[in-house]
Amino acid sequence: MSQEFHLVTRERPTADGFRRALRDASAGTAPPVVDGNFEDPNAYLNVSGPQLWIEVEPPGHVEAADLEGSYGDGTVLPEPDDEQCLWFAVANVPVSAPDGSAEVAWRVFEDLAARYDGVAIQP
Amino acid sequence: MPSVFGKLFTRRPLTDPEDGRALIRLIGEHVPSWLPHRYGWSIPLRNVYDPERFEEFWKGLEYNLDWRNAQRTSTGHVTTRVGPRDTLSSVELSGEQDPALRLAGLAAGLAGLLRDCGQPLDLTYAVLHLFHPDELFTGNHGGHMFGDIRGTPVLGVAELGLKECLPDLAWGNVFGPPYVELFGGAGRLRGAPAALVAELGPDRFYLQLTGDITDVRDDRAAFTAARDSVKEHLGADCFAGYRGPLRAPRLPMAAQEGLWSPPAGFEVPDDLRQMLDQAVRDGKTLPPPAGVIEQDPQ
Repeated sequence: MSQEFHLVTRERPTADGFRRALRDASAGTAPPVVDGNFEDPNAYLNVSGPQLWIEVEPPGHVEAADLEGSYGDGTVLPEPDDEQCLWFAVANVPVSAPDGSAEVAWRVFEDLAARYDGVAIQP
Repeated sequence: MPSVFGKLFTRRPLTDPEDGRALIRLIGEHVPSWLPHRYGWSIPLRNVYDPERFEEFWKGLEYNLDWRNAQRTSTGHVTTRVGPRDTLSSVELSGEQDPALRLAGLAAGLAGLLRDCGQPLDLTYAVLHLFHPDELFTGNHGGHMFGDIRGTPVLGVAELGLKECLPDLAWGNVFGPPYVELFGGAGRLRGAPAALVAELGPDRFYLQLTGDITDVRDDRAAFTAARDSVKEHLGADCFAGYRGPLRAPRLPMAAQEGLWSPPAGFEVPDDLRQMLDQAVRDGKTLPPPAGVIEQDPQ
C-alpha cells in the first residue's frame, strides 16, 4: 500500500532547506535527484535515487480552516500566520517504491517541521 | 453537506479561457456567492482566485480544476475531454443551501445560470437538481441521480453513463441539439408537459418540471408525477430504468474530432487509429501528444 505523509508549517520551507533535509535523511547513499520546481505550489516533484522514490506536492499556502478536523485530536497544528493560513505539503511513497523510501520521506518532513515551526503527520 | 447540484455538459474541450470567462461571468451574474475564492488540483486548495489572473486559474485544467467559494458552501469542478473516447466535457457545481438565501432563490439563480450558459458554452445537456435520498442508486430505491461517498451525496450524472441513456429527469434540464433530435425534434420539446419550457436557441431547450425546486423534497408526489409525464412524452426509453433497449445520442469521440493524440509509445488500437486517420483526412490538426514537452525553439 502506498503511504502518505503531510507537513504543516507556519513558515514556508525553502527549496534549499528541503534539499538539505533530503540529503541528511538519505545520508550514506547517492544524492537523490529532485525533478520539479519546489517553489511552485501546483507542481509535483519526483524525488529519486538508487534506493529512493518519493512524490512530493510542494508547500502551498492553504487556509488553516481548511485543515480543521483533518487529523486526530493528538495532532496540534501550528498557529496560522497573519493571513490565517499555513503551509501544507504532501509526500507520497508509491507502493512499488524501494524499501526505506517511506522512512526517508518521514525524516525529511520531521526535519522540516522542526526547522519551520510545524508538524509532520501520518494521516 | 451539499444539497443542490448542477452539472453542465458540452462537446467543447473547455480549454479555451474564453469558455471559462463566460462561465465565471455568468456565475457572478446569477449566483455571485458561488464565485471561486480558492482553487487548485488537490485538497486543501492552494491558490487564491484572482480575476486579474484568470488565465492562471483556468490553466489549472491541465491537471484538474477544483474550486470553492469564500463561504465554503459551494464547490466547482471542471472535467475536460482528455481521453480518446471522451465525448463531453463537464462543469459540476454543488452547494449547500445558503441560510441567507432561500432555496427557491438559489435555484432560480442556478436555473438562470444553466439557461444563459446554453448558447455560449454550446451545452449538450445540463441538470439542476436537489438531493433526495429516494434518488440514491446506492440505496435500493431504484434511483439513478445520486451516489454517496461516506455519507455525502454526490451527483451520479456522468459522461460515461450518458453514452447509454439519461439517468433521469432532473428538476431543471437543458437539452441541446443531440437530445432534441433524440426526442424527435424541437416540436416535441415545445409540447413537453413541464412547468416551464424555454427555447434557448436553435434546438436547445430548458425544461423545468415544477415551479419550485423544493417540490423535489417536499412534494414528492407532484414532482414524480411531473417527471413521469415528461419522460413519457420525451421517450421513456431514453432514461435509466426503462425495461427494454435504451436510446442515447451517439456523440463523436475526442479522437474522431482530432482532439487527442496518442502519447509516445502508446499502442493505438485499430479503431482509434482509424478515427485519427480520418480526422487528419478531414483536415484536422491533432494536438501535441500527451506527455511530450514542447521544446523551446531557441
